[in-house]
Amino acid sequence: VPGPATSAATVRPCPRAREADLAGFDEAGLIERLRANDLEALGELYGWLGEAMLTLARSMLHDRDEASDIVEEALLRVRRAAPGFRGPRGLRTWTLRIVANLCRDALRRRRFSAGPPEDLDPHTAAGLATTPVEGWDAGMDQAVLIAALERAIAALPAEQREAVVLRDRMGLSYADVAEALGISESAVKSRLFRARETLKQKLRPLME
Amino acid sequence: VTTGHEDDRLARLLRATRADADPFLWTRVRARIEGRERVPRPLEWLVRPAALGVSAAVLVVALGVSWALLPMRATGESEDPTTVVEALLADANGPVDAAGLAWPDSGSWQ
Repeated sequence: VPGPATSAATVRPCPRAREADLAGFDEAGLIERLRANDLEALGELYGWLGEAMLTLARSMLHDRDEASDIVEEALLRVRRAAPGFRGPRGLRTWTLRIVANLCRDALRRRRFSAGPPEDLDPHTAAGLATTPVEGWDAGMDQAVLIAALERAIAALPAEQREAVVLRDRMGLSYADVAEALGISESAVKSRLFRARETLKQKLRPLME
Repeated sequence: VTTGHEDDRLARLLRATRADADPFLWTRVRARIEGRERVPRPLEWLVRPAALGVSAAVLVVALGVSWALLPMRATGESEDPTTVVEALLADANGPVDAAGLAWPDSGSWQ
């Protein structure tokens, strides 16, 4: 008789070990357990990096379901590739690199498909959550600005979008962004400069 | 509005948006992994594309051999007078024919 551990219908909450709660977190130990194909370790990895993986995938694709599929596939690849893990900048950068590569593949496939409808609001379609910005000018409608910003991000070239999401939205260092994208730091800075200029230009009429 | 203000506002807006972790996603991934690991090895082998390719190739070879053997057998059989017509023709010069069985056409019974 299969127990609850093997039932697909069982809702098993993932371990909640968000990035903010990681005092004393043993990354080396987690890597070793992943190398040994420990399924619980993969769950802990998702508990730790799930938000980051989903933020990257949803911000890149602006399609909630497709982003979930990408993160699922990324976790399966992490499990497959973990025995040979060699991430000079750690597990987070390595995992986000897998997600970024899968997002690029998905965007490439979209060239041959209709993709999401053009009139869909990217912020809603992506399933992204927004927290109110503290000390914001009351004269500026944050919701309108955030929707406009998401539309502008969706219109960026993919290589600029991934840089701005990893650095400005998720707060990775330049070195980590470079590692996650497989490019040099100077290329990251160049892409970020162009992306930010485009975003500011598009938001300027709403922020004056 | 100065560039510094613009940069600051853009950075704050960008950081205000994130995705919430989805616990059901991990449930699905776990079920997929456990499902894969439960599949018996022979069945797993069968569903592999390479195995399917090999099976298809074996089928094609078997059909080809069968196709090649069938005409040979048919040719071999044609040399034996085993059909009814051939047997009758072969027997036409034999003693049975001498008994005279062609009565309905003549209208008389001999």
